[in-house]
Amino acid sequence: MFNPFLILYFVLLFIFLVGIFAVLYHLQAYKFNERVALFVSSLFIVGVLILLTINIVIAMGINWEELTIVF
Amino acid sequence: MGREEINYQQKYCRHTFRGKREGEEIIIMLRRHWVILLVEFVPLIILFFALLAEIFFTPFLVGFLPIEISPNFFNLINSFLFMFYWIIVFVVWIDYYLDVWIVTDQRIVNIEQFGLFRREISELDHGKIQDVTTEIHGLIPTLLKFGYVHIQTAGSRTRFEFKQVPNPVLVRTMVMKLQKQAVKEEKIKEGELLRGKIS
Repeated sequence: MFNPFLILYFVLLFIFLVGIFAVLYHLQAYKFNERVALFVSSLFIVGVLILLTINIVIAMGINWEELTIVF
Repeated sequence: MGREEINYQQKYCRHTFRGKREGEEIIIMLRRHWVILLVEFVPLIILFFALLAEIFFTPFLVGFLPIEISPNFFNLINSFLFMFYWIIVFVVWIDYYLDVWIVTDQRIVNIEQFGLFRREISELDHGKIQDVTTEIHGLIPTLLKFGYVHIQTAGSRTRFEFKQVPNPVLVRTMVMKLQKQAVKEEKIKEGELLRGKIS
């Protein structure tokens, strides 16, 4: 069934994933120091994993049928 | 060579950059002063507290809505706000960290990062430098010893600029030393070339 909220959720999730790859690419491709790049990338990934897990857990707890817009 | 200059060289022995020539040695790698990063982070810190306040007030605000929506939906919106906030924090840091001026034993490399999708790289050989001037303007830059280093060149590009870098006077001294050394080496090469032609 067509659910605009669910589509919006996946679009936002996709934009977030693109952002993650863009940041990681810059941290790795243009690094000046191996150790700094590794530390910052690890910190970023840990934060991303925590936030993404929380987001998915919340999304699974939502009744998406309830949010459907009837056209 | 002063103690601070020796420390600089030891500091950057593990550093590298894209396009580094073989045998090229980094002498100084400069970024804007940390205060500039702090200033850029101030709106982000305010935004962080605004997001926290938003989480705190959401349950009260939900009660005022004319329709009944699951609080989980608002938690999901908050979650997205924090996710994008995390990305923005790192984009600001990347913008600061990748904006760099590298002085090597052969040249000066200027790498300027504008957000995530614009990057400008320019370089200048020490031999082309004509004059180096420093500019420390304002109370905070004077107290924290940071400012601008302007490099006048012989080429079409009139000025090469290090913006808000720490210790601009020391940087000028080092650049001038490298310039003099490069000019001296060029003269020796020219002399050798002329001697070769004559004999």
